[in-house]
Amino acid sequence: MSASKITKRSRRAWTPLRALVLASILGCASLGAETAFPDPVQTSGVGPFRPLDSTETGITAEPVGRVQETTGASGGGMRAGDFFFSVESQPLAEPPARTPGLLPTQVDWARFAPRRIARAAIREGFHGFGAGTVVLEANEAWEGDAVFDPWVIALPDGRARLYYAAEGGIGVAEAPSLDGTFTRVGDGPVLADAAGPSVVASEEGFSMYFERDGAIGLATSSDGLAFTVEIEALTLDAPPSEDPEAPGETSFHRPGAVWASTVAHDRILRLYFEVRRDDGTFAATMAASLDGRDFERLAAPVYGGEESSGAPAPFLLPDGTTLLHFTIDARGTNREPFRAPVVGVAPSFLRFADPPVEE
Amino acid sequence: MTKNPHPTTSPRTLPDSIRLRASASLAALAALLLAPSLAHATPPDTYGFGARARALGGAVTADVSDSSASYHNPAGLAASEGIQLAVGYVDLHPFLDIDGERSSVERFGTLEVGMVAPVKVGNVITAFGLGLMLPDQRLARTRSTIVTRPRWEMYDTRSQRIFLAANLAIRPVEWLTIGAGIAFQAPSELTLDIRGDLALDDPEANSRLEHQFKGDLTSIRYPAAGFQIEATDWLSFGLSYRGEYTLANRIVALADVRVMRIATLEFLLDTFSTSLFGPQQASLSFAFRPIPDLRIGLEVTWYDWSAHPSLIPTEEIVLGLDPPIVEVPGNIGGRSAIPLGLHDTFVPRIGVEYTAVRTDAVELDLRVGYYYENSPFPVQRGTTNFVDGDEHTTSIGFGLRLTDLEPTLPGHLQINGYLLWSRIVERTHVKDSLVDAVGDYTAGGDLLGLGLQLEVAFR
Repeated sequence: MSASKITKRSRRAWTPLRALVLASILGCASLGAETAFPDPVQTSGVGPFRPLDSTETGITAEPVGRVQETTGASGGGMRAGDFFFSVESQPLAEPPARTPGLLPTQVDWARFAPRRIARAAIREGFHGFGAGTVVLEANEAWEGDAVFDPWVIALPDGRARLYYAAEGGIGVAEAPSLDGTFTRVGDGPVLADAAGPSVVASEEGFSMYFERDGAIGLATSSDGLAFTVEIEALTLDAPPSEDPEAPGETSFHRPGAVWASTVAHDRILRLYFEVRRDDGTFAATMAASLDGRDFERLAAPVYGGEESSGAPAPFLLPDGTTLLHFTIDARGTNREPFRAPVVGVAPSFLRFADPPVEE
Repeated sequence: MTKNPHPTTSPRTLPDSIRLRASASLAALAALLLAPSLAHATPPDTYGFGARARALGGAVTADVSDSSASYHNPAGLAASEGIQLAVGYVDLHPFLDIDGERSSVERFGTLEVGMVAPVKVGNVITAFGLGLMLPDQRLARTRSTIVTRPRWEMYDTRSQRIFLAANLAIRPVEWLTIGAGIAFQAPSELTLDIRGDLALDDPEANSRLEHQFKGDLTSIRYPAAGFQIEATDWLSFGLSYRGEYTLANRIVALADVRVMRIATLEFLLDTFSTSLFGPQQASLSFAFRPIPDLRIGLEVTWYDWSAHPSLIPTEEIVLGLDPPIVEVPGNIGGRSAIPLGLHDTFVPRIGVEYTAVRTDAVELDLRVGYYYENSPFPVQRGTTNFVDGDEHTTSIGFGLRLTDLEPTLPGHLQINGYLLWSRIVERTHVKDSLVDAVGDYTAGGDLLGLGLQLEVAFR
């Protein structure tokens, strides 16, 4: 048999084989593969907020979503630019007995050193923050022995303005920049007998949401320093519950406001706040408004975990993604309750890093 | 040798009196066929059927005579010039976005097979036709609706179905063809039964549970019918009707469990949902031939979308404990269907075909088509998020016919191809509630597709 005949015969044998291989490849290429359900779309900032994990925050401390490693108690914090402003308060070496009448999860500030306001820089590549340094502590008579509930805004000229709460009300301090040194503005509170300031700026001026007597009010100002109370208690009641045995809401605290926009609305004011209930629990929820005065309330909490959530403070990323800094109940190694500062994201399916590998 | 450019529509004339009587009887037939009926869903409703029909924007009801008549107008089967076998492939790629993010809508690839078998008995021609679309990724898919997740309802799962249709047609006189048939689909009913003993102290070690799973895919049929009239040698018109179809899913989970041998826990989960709906629809079509080599088709299709049932599942969840050693709530949950508020649509179509080359051996047709489909879905202001938009679809195609193949093939061989582009006009969904979980968003995009079909016809 000549070589050419062998080659021809081999070619004849290969032709159907090639066709079979080609058909198999084409057939397998079009086999059905399951695709994921459509991604959720959340443009309303309502949540639910997913706590970031350690690969996104750079913080491994419990609970999940921890935004800063702190050894002391935290009343929550807020983000401005690449800085996190929060309360710094270390446990006393010899704390007094727990104050009677407090709820089991309630922080007993008497067992901690006086509260001060600290600033922490962001961990590069993460949404968590390093250790804070104190930028403001109480030393004015009207402040009592503690300053807390910080809220910082960046002014158009680059200055940073810090609103904070103290015993006598809400005060103001300013710094040349977000990382600059803060000095007090004025010699007294800009709003007496109030706490939990949250200030947003718009073309019309400054709006401050604050808490007073278990309600959230609204004060406005043209310069952000001299405020006039416009609404003492905003209407933020939840829609009627379908569950007749659901606990009733007793008071609203710790507002956190942000102007956002959607494809349909140039601006929506989202007001996050803490609601306390008659069964001793509390939760972070929110309401939204087009004018900052008349709100539509969300019935559910913005955080779906089992722990109570509170002190919500929103932060919008440039793409509109909402980060929410809030606190959830936790207990220290000494069983002392404290409110751990955490950060969540909405839309909840968004990720900033691959999830941690489970061992 | 001169050939009729459109062999299925040779010049014929008939007296006006006969036309009048025929028209009256056909109107009665049409009225009968247009009576509402319940049936079920197909991918051609989304993408059409057949390469020539797609290239002509679907405007073929008046004079279709190839295997795609099984979907577009069964009457056209009897106008076929001989036995035809067609096999083709369709490949459509969606590029659909919500708020600038690409949505996870699958490509649609399907094998298309069609057959026409006419028989002449005396002067009467009868024909049998079969149409099959066999998606190459999955034969059927059902996905429950999560109201908080925007979904491209018209493109996500609708096409993931087999389409099978069988039709009969008759041509009693030369100028008239009438056809009817049925298409098949299957809904599903699933039952999960759990029985046994449940130990609360150590459930994993001491529980004894057994389960039984039953699935039932029952065949459901829905009608299609139509007629074609060739009024003159340059004008024909046709009317076709397809029935409504609703593919429902029912899932029942029953648990009957002895708890610690002291009580019986009864649990019932009963969900009912509509996974796919196709509205009843009627197409009125005209085909003009101002010159022998030019054919212009105009068509309008009515879709009864307002009859669309809710896509939100209804659920009933019941819990019982016998004896009632502890208090348990009876009806512990569930939800009701949410009306979708769809409206009827009228879809205009136009298709132009020009025979650019005509020799004894080869014919080359060039085709262009267009249709506009306004979305039946309203802007999603409430809790539902069924994303859709008005659709402009443009297509171009060709048909290359080799006619001088004897003695190898006593007939012709035809290759049809097309490119298709659908533009889904961007639409902004503004929610009534400022605290809606999804919020406001925009949605729009494109679909690009192509297809190739080989048709063999025997005289």
